[in-house]
Amino acid sequence: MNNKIIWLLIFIVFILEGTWVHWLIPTGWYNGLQVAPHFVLVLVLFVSIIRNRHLGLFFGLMFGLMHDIVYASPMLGPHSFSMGLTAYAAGVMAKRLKITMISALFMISFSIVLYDVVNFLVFRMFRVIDVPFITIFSDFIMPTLLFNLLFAVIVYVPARRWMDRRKVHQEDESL
Amino acid sequence: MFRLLGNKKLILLLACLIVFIALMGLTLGERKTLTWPEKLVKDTVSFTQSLFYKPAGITAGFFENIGMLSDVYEENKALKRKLSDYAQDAVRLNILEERVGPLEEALLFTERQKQANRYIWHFAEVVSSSPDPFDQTININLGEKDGIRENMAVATVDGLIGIVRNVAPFSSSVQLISAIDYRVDSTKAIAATTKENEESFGMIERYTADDLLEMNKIESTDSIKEGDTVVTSGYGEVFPKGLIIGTVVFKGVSDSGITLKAMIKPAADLNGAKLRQVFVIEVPEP
Repeated sequence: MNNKIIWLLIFIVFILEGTWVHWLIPTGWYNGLQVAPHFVLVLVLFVSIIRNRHLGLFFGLMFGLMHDIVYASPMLGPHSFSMGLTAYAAGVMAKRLKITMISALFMISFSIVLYDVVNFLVFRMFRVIDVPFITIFSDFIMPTLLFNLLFAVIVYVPARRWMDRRKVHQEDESL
Repeated sequence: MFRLLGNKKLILLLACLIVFIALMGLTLGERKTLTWPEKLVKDTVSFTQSLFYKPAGITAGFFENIGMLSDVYEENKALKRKLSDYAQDAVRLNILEERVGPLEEALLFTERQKQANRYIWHFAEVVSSSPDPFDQTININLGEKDGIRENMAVATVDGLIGIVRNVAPFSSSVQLISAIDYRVDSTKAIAATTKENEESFGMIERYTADDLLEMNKIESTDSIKEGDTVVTSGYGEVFPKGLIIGTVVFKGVSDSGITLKAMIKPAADLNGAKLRQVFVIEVPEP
């Protein structure tokens, strides 16, 4: 798949994340439990794992910055930083491991947790939120991980197929 | 760490860290206006999102309406009763306004004082809400060009929900009152009083984990009680006067032990994802 198409696809998911996905999340769960869709992050991680880490880093920085601007974060940069960092980290891991479904999902879950933890630390450092880590961890990070891992499982096969095809073509052309 | 990344890359990573921390530090806090690239991105994305949000809202609203079909009869009765009350109130209001007008003239009220309570309600549609619970914001489809300014109050028909945080030409972001926390610099406390007794006074300073607002700094002689309707007092000069915030569900001694505190159940639904239509309230400038 062409880079431009991936770009467009993730942009569409970015738009849906702020508009449609909320309606899919059940609200009547345990009081105080929060689930955030990180679908853009999951797709960026796929790019980083299946393509390469530099492309993933670039995508992460750009989409993170877009999140910061559109949703009026208290400051510019936190999501850009965390998304870029986690995408790169996932890419580095992918370079060392053989990519199977299990290892890819492991990398993705590690990265989702890393993303939320980095966000939390940055916001905590700048005193934008003031909540103890243990509450955030049990009420937000863990449910969010499960929810997004579900999404990752669903898109794993199509993502693998679409993103990998280009690589095969490229190798064919280069031969 | 060194093995994993290599020296050059580690230095690059640290440089990135420094750049980002500088960027965050510089843009933290209240900025007067957004830069033009930000406005451009924000307006473009918000416009695209509005195309997606509307059908989703309509679909969900349709199913909600089917669910509420059984209540229609009861609701109709209640509304009819309200309507007759409203007609009586309107007559009373007209009489009172006629009486107050000449008095204001006699007391030489300035134009600003006369206009102070004439609020303009701008109707706005929600285009998206932030997927990240660390920053509870929604975006609406009115912006600078429609007369929206920073720090205007935002409400639904049920009550106050937030405050305009920043504006682009055709869209703006609203920070929900569920973000209020006195330990954090980027939120504002709300000066509040009750509908039952305008002498009551307290500051809404925090949104607790069990979805209640905490009202502090209430004097121990205050007559506030459970069941009272809490409204904005307008003393803070940020929020207009008389917007409904919620009802008192608990009253007790504050943590310091000197003043009282009250827990308030918000009147409006603060779940950003379920909001569709909101009002931005403009206080006329002198």
